[in-house]
Amino acid sequence: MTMGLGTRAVALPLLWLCLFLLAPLLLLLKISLAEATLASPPFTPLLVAEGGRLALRISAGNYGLLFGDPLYRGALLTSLRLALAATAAALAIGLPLAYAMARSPAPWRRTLLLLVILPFWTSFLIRVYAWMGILGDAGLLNALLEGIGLIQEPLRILGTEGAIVLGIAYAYLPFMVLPLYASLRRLAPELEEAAADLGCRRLATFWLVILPLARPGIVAGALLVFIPALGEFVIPDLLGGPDTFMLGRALWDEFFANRDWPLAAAIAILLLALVLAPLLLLQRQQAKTQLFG
Amino acid sequence: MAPPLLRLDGVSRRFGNTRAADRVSFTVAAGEMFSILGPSGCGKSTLLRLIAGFETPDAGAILLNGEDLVAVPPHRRPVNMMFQSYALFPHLSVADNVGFGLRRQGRPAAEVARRVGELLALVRLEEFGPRRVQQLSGGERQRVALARALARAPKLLLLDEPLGALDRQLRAATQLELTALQRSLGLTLLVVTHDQEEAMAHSARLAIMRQGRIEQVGTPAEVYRRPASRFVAEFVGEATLLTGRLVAAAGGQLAVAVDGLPRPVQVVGDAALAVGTAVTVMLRPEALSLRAASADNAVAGSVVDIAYTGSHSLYRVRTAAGLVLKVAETHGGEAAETPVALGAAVTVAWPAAAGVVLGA
Repeated sequence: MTMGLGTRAVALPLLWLCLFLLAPLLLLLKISLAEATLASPPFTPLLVAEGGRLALRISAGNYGLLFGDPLYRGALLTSLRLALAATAAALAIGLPLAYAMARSPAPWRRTLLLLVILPFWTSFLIRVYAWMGILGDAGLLNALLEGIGLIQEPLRILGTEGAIVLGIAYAYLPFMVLPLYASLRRLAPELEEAAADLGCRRLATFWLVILPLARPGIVAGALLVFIPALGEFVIPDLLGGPDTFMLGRALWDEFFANRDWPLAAAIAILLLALVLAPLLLLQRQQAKTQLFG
Repeated sequence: MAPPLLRLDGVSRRFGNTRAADRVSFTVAAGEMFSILGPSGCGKSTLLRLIAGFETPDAGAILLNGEDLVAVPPHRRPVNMMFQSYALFPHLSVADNVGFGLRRQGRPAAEVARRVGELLALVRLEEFGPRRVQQLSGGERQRVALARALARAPKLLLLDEPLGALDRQLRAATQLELTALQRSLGLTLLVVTHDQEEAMAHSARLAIMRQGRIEQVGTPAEVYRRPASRFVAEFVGEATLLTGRLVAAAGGQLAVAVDGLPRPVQVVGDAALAVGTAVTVMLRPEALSLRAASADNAVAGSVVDIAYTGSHSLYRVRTAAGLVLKVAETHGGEAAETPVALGAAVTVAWPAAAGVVLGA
């Protein structure tokens, strides 16, 4: 029997996904169900030979620890809280920005789009370092505020949760702006005029017409910011303080400092599960959008 | 006469170097169907947007019942607009679209529902309330847009190319419905269109617009019979325009020498014009004949084109000097018995009273 062209066309990406996504994922799941041990590799095997019989050794202890231990539960809640705050901040900045871009005259639009994407041309790490220079006690922001006489003592910004939220919102703002821009561009200006014609002030037009019609863009943008923000490691590490303990840091510490691969794997699986739910939401939203178009 | 419902007084609006509206003045009476007719880009849609409040005039006043609207924001103007694209809200159902403006007025839900039902019945879409806008055909959308624009009982309804997006057959039927609705509800309609047939057939009065200026305001018959300019003459209906110079004027009888014609053209016209003035003589095709035995004017030529339109044929007759005259002949009677063939040598004749002298 020969395979049809269609089958082969599907088989290749499927094979790729199995090899480089599903297999490592299953490996990760397997490690997360093991226990840490001082060996190489540093975790207990899942299958052990016991008196000539193979026995399955599954431990749910790592997951128990994640939800039971206040340290990890705290990290989970902090991660969720800061990721949500950063997403909200990116939305609050991104929505007016995307709206202004979508409504600016045609020759401007391309330049503005380029400016939104421009930060990607420099290293992510350098941009976060730059924020350290801005937010530090002797940084640009404090110097400016002191210079204009608004404050006498430098504000402590770097090392706070606010700095983390700001950093994440800044770093992922383009992911918010681009889908918002795309959905606002599709919104005909006559719809806003029709709303005004039917008695809406600008704010009512925004709530009743612009916001509902921009929803696909808002959902897509929010997920594109929330998902990476949840597991973010670099930004909290550089801009946050030592007392802000998030899942990304927990994962790093368990893996590199404590050599507790199973616990690190369990954190990774937990992150994945947290991200998967909104991802499925995104997919449903996109299917609905296609139905619209 | 009652004061006009709408009065535009010297309204101007520029975009960069383009004058979209240039000292526009006209009035619309209550209960009237008034059309603004002009080629695309003449500024007629800008005029509607100025009245609706989406644009602010650089100069001039827009008075509704004597009150200046210019300072009133669009959401508080007692006018409603039906957009060319219809601009229906895609996230709302048909009923929610129609009831949108009523809900903004803070009417109770029961009253909104009742009024939406009435409006949907008015445009014969009773069953369509719960449907999504995307599920509707072009003609159905047009009617939803009309119902939505009527919902707040506007003093003046603005329609931007209301039939533009419909196919030809649907247009005629929809136009009749719109006219019937206008009469039965006593609506005042201000319609913008580029379709001269549509504007001529259904408006009480119309304004012809060109490059931001109003060229003429009048009833369809006035605009057709006595156009104020060459542009109006050519834009509304078919016309032959002869440019020449006034050579004699006596007792309302003018003689105009036209290049390419052997004898001066005899026209009835304004005796106040000075001899030597450059003038244009307009001739409507139905006033010309290919068969008249004797007339004030007669020009020989040959038929170079025949356009058959069913009720009549439009002939293009070229003179030896290359002038082209348009002649319409109604079918039946003489024309049916001895049809004029393409290439035939003919004499185009017309009475002096058929010509209209235009300013330039």
